[in-house]
Parts: sequence; C-alpha cells; structure tokens
Amino acid sequence: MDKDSPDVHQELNKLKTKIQEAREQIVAMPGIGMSPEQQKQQFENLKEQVRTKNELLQKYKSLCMFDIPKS
Amino acid sequence: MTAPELCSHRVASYLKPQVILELLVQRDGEFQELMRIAHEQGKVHQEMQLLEKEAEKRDTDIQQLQKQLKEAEHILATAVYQAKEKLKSIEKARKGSVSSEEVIKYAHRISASNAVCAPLNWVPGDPRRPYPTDLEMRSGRLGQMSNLSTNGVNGHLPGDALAAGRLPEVLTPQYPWQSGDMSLNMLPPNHSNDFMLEPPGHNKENEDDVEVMSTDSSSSSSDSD
Repeated sequence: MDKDSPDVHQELNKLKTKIQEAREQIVAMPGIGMSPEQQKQQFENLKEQVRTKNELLQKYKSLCMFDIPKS
Repeated sequence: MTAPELCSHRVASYLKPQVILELLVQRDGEFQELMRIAHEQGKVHQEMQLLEKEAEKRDTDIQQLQKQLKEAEHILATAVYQAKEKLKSIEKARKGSVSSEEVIKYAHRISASNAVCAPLNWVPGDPRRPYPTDLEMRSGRLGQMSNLSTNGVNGHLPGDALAAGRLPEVLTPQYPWQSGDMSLNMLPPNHSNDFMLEPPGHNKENEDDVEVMSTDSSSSSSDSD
C-alpha cells in the first residue's frame, strides 16, 4: 500500500477524529479525577461515615433517658 | 514509550511501517486496559454518590432529632421548675395551716352583718343595705358627736334604739319584712345558735370586733373596693 495514497490519509484522518472524540469523552467521565487507590480510600471513608451515623441515630432513638419506676 | 523514543523509532523505522503498527497496537492494548480501569472507577464513583446522599440524609435526621431533643429538654425543664414551685407552695401552706373551724367561725362573723348576702326575708323596698346607711351613720358615734347640740329633740336617738336592738320610730312596722324584734332577724335563722355567735350591736366587744374586721385591710368584706 502506498503511504501517500488518499485512502491512507482518509483512514488516518478518521483515526485522528476518533482519538479526539475519545479524549473528549474521557474528560467527561466521572470518577477518574483521582487514582484508583485514592478513590478506594475515599469510598471506605464514606462507608465508615454512613455506618457511624446510622449507629448514632439508632442509639439515640432507642435510648431511654428516664428510669421508669415499676409501680 | 516516551516521545523521544518514539521519534527515534520513527526515524529508525521510517521505512518500517510494521514497527509503527506494532507500536500502535501496543498503545491500543494499554488504552483498553486504562478504559477498563476507568469504567470500574466510574462504578465506584456512582456508589460513592449514593453513600454521600445517604450521609446527607443521616445528617438531616440527626439535626431533626437534635431539635426535638432540645424542645423536649425545654419542656421538661419548665415542668420541673413548676413542680418545684408547687412543692414550695405546698410546704409553705403546710407550715401556715389554719384550723378549718377557725376559718368557718371567722366567715360567720364576717357574714353576720349581712354584708355578703341579703337576709332571707329581704324584699325590694327594704331599706337595709350591706353597708351602713345614712341613718345608721348619723346614729353612730361620729354622728352623736356632731349632734350633741340636738340631743333630746326627738326623745331618743336612733343609735340607742339600734344598740338596744329596737327599731327607731321611723322604722315602725309598715311592710311585711319589718318586725319589732330585729335582734332575732339579724342572723340567718338556721345559724343563729351555731358556734355561739352573738348578733352585732348586742355586745360592745362584738361591735369592736366587727369594726376592726370591717376596717381591717385583710377582711374580705372590705376587699370589694
């Protein structure tokens, strides 16, 4: 195949266009602003936070502040 | 592969497109691997967003609970304070307790002069009033002091007649409610013998008590003003 043929140029242009579109889509992808390790750490922190808050709420809802005398 | 390496490869492989294509395929493999990692990170990111929403909801619940606990604390503090005040009042009342018989006796003394309730035989037209009338004032001590110069004009003073329990001549029986024996009608008939009370005017000591009670600021009959 002749590397200067119009077909090759056309295919190369198509490839360049696809690469540019891929770049734009990659920039718009959510969750890739940090490394996988950092994301995993943040995910664990969030899980711990939600678990702690759930426990706190459960504790206050079931807490009886008064000693009801048995009469 | 870095850019300088690529350039050197480009130069070296100017006549070798196969090498270039191999490099391209290698790059594509790396790209595919990165895309897979990015896809997984996207999923984790979605889960993280759900967790953040849940954390926000828990925060709202905690704030709501805090507000309600604060309100409950305020209500309970008010109730405890009022209960303590009531206990103080109870203790104070217990320390200053008065015998019920004393209170009833006192009430009878106050009401004996018909100042709190009309006599049972009172009808419209009866000149008797729950307050001293003009005639009674004139026949009292103050009136007598100012009428010393006219003593004996009428033969007897209305005040003497009242002190003796008899009506003056102007009040001789003309109406059904008038009677010559006012002393028996000055007390309610069913209470006249209870508690050994004497009708006012019969006894100077009672007169003093009545006068003291009527002028006493703590008596109920003078509280109507």
